[in-house]
Amino acid sequence: MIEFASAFADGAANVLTWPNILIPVLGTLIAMTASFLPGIGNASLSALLILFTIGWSPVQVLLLFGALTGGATFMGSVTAILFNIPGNASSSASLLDGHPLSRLGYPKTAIASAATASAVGSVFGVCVLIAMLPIIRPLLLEFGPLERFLLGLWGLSTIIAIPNSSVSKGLAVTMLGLLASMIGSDATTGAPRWTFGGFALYDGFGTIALLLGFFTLSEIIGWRRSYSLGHAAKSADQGDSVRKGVLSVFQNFGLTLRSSTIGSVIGMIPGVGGTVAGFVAYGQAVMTSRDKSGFGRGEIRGLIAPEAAIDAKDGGSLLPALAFGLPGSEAGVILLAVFAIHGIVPGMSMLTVDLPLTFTLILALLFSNILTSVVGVALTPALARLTVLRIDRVALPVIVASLVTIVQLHGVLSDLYLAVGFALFGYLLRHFRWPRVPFIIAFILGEFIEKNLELTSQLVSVGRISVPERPVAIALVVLIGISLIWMARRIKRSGALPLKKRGEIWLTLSLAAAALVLAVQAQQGDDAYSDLAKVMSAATFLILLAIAGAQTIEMRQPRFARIPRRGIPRPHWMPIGLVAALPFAIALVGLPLATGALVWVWLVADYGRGLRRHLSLALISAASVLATALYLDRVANVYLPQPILAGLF
Amino acid sequence: MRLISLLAMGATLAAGTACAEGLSESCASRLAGQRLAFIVPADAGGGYDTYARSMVPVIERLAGMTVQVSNIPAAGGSVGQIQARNAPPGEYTLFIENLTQMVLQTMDEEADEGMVGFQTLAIVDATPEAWVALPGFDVMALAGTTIVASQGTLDGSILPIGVAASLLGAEARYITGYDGSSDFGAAVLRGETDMTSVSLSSALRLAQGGDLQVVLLIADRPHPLVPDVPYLAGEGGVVDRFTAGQDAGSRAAAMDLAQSIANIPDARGIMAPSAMEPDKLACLSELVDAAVVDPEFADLVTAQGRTLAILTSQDAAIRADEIARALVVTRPLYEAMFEAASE
Repeated sequence: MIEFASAFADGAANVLTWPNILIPVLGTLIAMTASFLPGIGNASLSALLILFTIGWSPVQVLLLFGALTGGATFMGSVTAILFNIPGNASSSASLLDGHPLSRLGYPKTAIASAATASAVGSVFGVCVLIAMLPIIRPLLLEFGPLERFLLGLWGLSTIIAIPNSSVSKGLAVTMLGLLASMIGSDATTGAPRWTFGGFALYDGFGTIALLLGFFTLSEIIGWRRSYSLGHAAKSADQGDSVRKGVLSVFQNFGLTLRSSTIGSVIGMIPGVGGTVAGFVAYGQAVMTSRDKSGFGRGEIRGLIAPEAAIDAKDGGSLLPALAFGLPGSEAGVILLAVFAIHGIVPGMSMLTVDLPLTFTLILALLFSNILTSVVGVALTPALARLTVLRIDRVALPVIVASLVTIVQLHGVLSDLYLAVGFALFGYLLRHFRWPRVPFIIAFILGEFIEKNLELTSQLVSVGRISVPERPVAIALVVLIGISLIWMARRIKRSGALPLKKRGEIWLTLSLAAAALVLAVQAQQGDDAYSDLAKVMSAATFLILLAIAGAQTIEMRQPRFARIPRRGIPRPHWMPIGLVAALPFAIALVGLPLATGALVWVWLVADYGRGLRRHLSLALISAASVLATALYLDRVANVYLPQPILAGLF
Repeated sequence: MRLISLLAMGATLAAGTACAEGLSESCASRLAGQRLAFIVPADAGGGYDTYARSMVPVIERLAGMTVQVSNIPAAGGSVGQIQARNAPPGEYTLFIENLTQMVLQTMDEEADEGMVGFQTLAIVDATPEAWVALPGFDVMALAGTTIVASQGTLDGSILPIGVAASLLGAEARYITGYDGSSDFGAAVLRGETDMTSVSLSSALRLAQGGDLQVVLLIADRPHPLVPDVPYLAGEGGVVDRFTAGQDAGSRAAAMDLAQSIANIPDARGIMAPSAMEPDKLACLSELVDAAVVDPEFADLVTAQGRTLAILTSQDAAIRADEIARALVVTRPLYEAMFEAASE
């Protein structure tokens, strides 16, 4: 015990003494800045810094990389809250309620709440990490494919009944989300599945590209009606304050601790990651809240839960790397490379003789998380002002930043085309008031569930898993049972499936047709289509067909005549057309010129009167072409294929 | 302004020429101040990225070029491969990939992929595969047993696990779907599987915590990094010892097969698109030859815990041929075992 305390003191001294303290401060600020810029992920930043720090001492390096891990998480959530753009994948769950809260006029509350939840989550995560160091090795070995599968299933079981939707539509979009997660290649054989013969879908839908299309671009299409152009977005009212955001975390302290626990536990499991942690925490926040009506519409508990979880996860994710040399996340992979460079050996030595180094890393992470939150709260008033900019001045930079981010992720244009497709899909779901959140949660958890189910099934077939000997699995089964009982009670209370708008039947039929195509291909396909894939695609088709049938019957009811005839609003046609035309424009003239054309058309539609005005708009468009080209070429290092027109000439 | 630009350009060229160690004068002046795209078909931070990024400062110092590393991991690296192959002929482009996998792709007659359209400029590592297991796993005591292996996909498992196990009298079962070498190792730790096979670099990482051990090298000689670990093929290898009492014919067949598997390492090759303008390609080859033997490159790579087995352009091409021959020899057995395992 004395050795433990002494190692802790040594670690704290490494972090807090001068000039060492400059390293985590700088690391935190670098990570915060990089996370705020579109497309520069923490992994790329860390990979760049590995070479830069080769000559440093082990303590200095651990201070820097601990800080980089901690600094990136919160700032990714700030962009999610303000602009609906997740700065990193793990911040995805924060945009579900964080952005609506900001649009409702509570940006300060949202950012301060996220910062405080992050700080509490990270302190909790680090406390759990420290408390578990002595017993961590046997505990980590408890989480095999069976437990991971059940964990994913638990996360999924809480989402179908997310409020603001009929349960049947919730179920249908959940099935669609699971189906979308299966597109790409089979989880165990790697054989291509539903790729339609091309490379673009081989890795499945990219999470960030899908999210940026599904939430960000589809949201911008809606902005032209929800918020009138040329005016500021809803300005912060008197109820919006930093104090309110900070207090909200303590008013929901039970939720914060529960979410932090979920984040810590999920963080410990190698290969699961913060994205799953955020969505599982969000699901349990919905499940355990009495009033569920605000979720998805700016409910602060829907922001606190994922924020606490994803920051608590950071501490937990260090455990497998420290205890076994197994990375728990991308950051863990880079951390192990850093360990190798500086002769730090993970395993028992990190928990015994090198315990001061372990504490140095843990406390640098804690310091960075707290510093990020403090800086975040301090910057809240300035950041919140960004949301009261005129909507047309926000929309275009958000579109351009989204396009660059999407392309930069994997250096391929196909991600951008997928994002455009999901933008239109997300817009239609929103327009016809179908729930969008279950789709995204099912998409995130789907691959995880399928892969671990397949692994579990193989392990059972060779007799390597015995369920009665797995206490964690039994506990998860109990949790799933509780969730299912809760969901069954909610389904009982839920009404039928009213047609919200005329034309909705066409959306249902289109989705059913898409599911039918996938189902037919699965039934005719080879081994890449597992039994699960076949059943899922057929079941999705049947559920959508049933909904379409019910809607058809409803259309024959007298009350249907009273539903107003409202199609796609006129102000939305221009952004829909522009977004839909983007893939063709990019293929034809390249991303920078296509971006410039988009900016020009958008601006001319709103301001294009008079020669002088046209000239100034052309200048703005040219500037956006130049900025995009320079960013792609000099900062993002993206190597894009030649546009068709350039090839011709 | 124009004068300043000319002076700056002149200074860059002069610096490039002055620093051009190991480069001919014509190439030094041609490359100085130029841009080089280095395409890595994998995520930042991984093995391929490490080799590429470690070459950047060396190339910049040797040739005065500006190097930009692009990570294009989409479609298991296929998209990066296509982009590198189709790079404009007038641009300097390098590409790093698993040479063995690319040779294998080339053997598929239907595919316009693999080595088609590439010229091998160097091999930076040709690490053998290595078995990793819990301490106490004895490769000489496997006869008559069934070993369970954790892997990502079946195709990468057959030769280093299935064929090697059969040479030692054992049968292999595969649990596929684990996510990368760390997950393979975690499955062994949890007792879900008996062993896994990964590249020696990854095996050394898995074993550094002490919970797992490298128990067999798929090679024909000891490796300097793990001199005490038994190796599969060649004189003194485990197949040599295991077949000691067998008749000469079956022993020779087993030894030949073991040698073929040992000739298929995980070779990381540096390539350039063959369509690049010939004089540019020649200078780039000269530059890569100089860069891979530069002590700074070796220091950077080994400092990051990666292994090195450098072959410059001519030797790299010979090695690629050897790999291709070994793949041809083992292909029928591979296909038969793959089909059996798939069922």
